[in-house]
Amino acid sequence: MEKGQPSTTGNERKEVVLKLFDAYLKEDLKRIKNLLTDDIRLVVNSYKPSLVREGIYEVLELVQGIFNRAHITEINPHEIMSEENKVMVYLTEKGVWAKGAPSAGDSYQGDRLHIYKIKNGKIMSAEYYLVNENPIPLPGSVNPGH
Amino acid sequence: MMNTREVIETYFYVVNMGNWDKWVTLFDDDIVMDEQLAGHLEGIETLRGAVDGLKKGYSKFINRPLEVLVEGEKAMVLWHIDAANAKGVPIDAKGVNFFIVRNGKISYMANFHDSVPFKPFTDQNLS
Repeated sequence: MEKGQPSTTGNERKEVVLKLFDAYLKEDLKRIKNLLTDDIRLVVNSYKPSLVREGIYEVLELVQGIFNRAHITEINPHEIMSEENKVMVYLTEKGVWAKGAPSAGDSYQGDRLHIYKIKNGKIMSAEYYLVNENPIPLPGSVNPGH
Repeated sequence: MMNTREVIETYFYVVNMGNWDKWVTLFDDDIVMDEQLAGHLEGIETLRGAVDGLKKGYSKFINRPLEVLVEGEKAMVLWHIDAANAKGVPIDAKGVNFFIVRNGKISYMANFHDSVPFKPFTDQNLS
C-alpha cells in the first residue's frame, strides 16, 4: 500500500495521465473534464508571469484557449514515472498553430515536463514546464521567456 | 551502498559545493551520458576530462532541484540553475535530468534544457 493513495498503483496513475494526453489530442473537453477533480490547479511555467488556473472551469477555459491556438498532433512521452501520488512525464509535443495564433498553419515542436498529482483516479494538480524555446503562446500571456 | 534517492541527493549536494571531483565519483566507470550541450558521452575518463572545463568555465554554479521523483533505479529531477560564466555573466535556466542508478552509481544520465541561456558558458574563450 503506497503512502497517501492506497487505491491506485503507479501504473494506474500513469494511465490517468496517458488518458489525458489522448483527450488532448482529440480536443475532447468532456473527457478532459472527467479526468480532473473539481478543484484542479493548473500551473504553466516558463511564461512570464506563470499562468495559474484554479478550479475545473478556469482550467477548461484555458485548455479551450490552447485548442483555439494550436492543434496538438503528437504527444510523445520519453519518460513517465510515478512515486506516491505524483506522475512526472518528460515529453515532446508536436502540433500546428491554429487560426487564433500569429503563425497560423506553421508547425511547432517542443519538449515539456509535466508533473501531475492524482487523487482517487483523477488529476488534482498539474504543472507544465516548457523546457525549450518553442512554447505555445497561451491566451493572456506575455511572450514566454527563459 | 547508496540507493537511487541518496545518489541523486548527493549529486546535487556536491554540485552545489562546486566539488566536481567528488561529482565524477558518483558515476559508473561505464557511464553513458546524453548531455544537452556536450552531446553523447561514454566512459568515466571522458567525464573526468570535462571537469576542468566546468571548473574554469563557471565562476558560480547553483543547481537547485525543484522536484525529484524516484521510481526504482530511475529518477527524474526538475532543476533551476543559477550560474555565471568565468567572467561573471549570469546564466539562469530550468531543465530536467533523467538518471538511471545501478549498484549505487549513476550508469546513465540525460539532461534536457534550452541551450540559449547557456550561451555565456558555451561561447566563452577559456584559452
